[in-house]
Amino acid sequence: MGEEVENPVPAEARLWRRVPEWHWVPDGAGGIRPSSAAFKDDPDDSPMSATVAAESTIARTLDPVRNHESAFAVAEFPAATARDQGQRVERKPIPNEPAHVFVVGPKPKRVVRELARMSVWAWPPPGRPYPEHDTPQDQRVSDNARPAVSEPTQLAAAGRAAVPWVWFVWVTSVCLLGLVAAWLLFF
Amino acid sequence: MYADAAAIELVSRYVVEPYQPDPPDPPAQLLSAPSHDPRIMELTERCRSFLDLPENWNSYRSKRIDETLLKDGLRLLSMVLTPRARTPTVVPTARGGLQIEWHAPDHDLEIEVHGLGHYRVFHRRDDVEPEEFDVFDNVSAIIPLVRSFPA
Repeated sequence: MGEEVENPVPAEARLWRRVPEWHWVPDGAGGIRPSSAAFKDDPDDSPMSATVAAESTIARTLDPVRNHESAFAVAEFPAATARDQGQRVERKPIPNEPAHVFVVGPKPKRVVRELARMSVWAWPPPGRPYPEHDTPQDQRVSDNARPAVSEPTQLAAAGRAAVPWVWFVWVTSVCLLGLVAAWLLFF
Repeated sequence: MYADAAAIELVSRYVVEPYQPDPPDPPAQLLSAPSHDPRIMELTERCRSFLDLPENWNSYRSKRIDETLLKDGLRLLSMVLTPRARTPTVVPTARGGLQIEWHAPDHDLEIEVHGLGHYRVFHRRDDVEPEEFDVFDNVSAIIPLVRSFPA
């Protein structure tokens, strides 16, 4: 609590929470959204965990689940939404995640439903492959989109970019060989 | 001589009764009787997969799923899921229960199986106040809400 007073989570902060594939549900409009069941307090009555997006990374948020059999996405919701629903956002740093917070307060369905409704995907389904390291493209604060170009797409784009160069080298080589052959033939 | 007898007994025990691994557990019978509704059978299969989830499956200290709560949720579904109603989504809950959900852009219905015969219902439409209430066994209050999601 002391740290909360000294270093409160900013009003405009956005929070991240891991969402297992079991909690990805159709939104009725052709998309996938997190179930409200993903925003409940822990079964041991500990408050709901989250991380401050601006102070963490997707890679670090997903580190605890890299060995899980299930896939995970990361939902992002405004701290203001939690506060509007009567929740307190309290810092609770843990090993390997200094940006960890507790979202404290009673969570009837009305509250968890609102958290789910106001969420966007910071790391959307299908979740895997997860980002390996804290790369710059992973240092997103409120950019809700997954990196616009995935790794295979980047490779394909690199291949397409290389095509004109291959043609240039090939045509040049053929022309040079032709010139050499003609020179040898006539002289 | 005594040693020979002991050896014979030891050998005979393992020859006559060779090691047999325990037979695998039969698949859980989540429905008391097979349903004629393919939607119920499909939802049952999904619920069956919840039983394989280990503790901490949500990475936030979740419990294993309680088979009795799954059975109760499927029993509820077989009572309220009319042919003209939309098939819901079922999700496990961190406390080991089951939640049944219907969603539309302006309309949500969620039913959480809290305990045997105890359901927490949340219903929201854009044009009315959200409502949240508990249902104990008497599911007649749920049926019209489910019917409001046409297939």
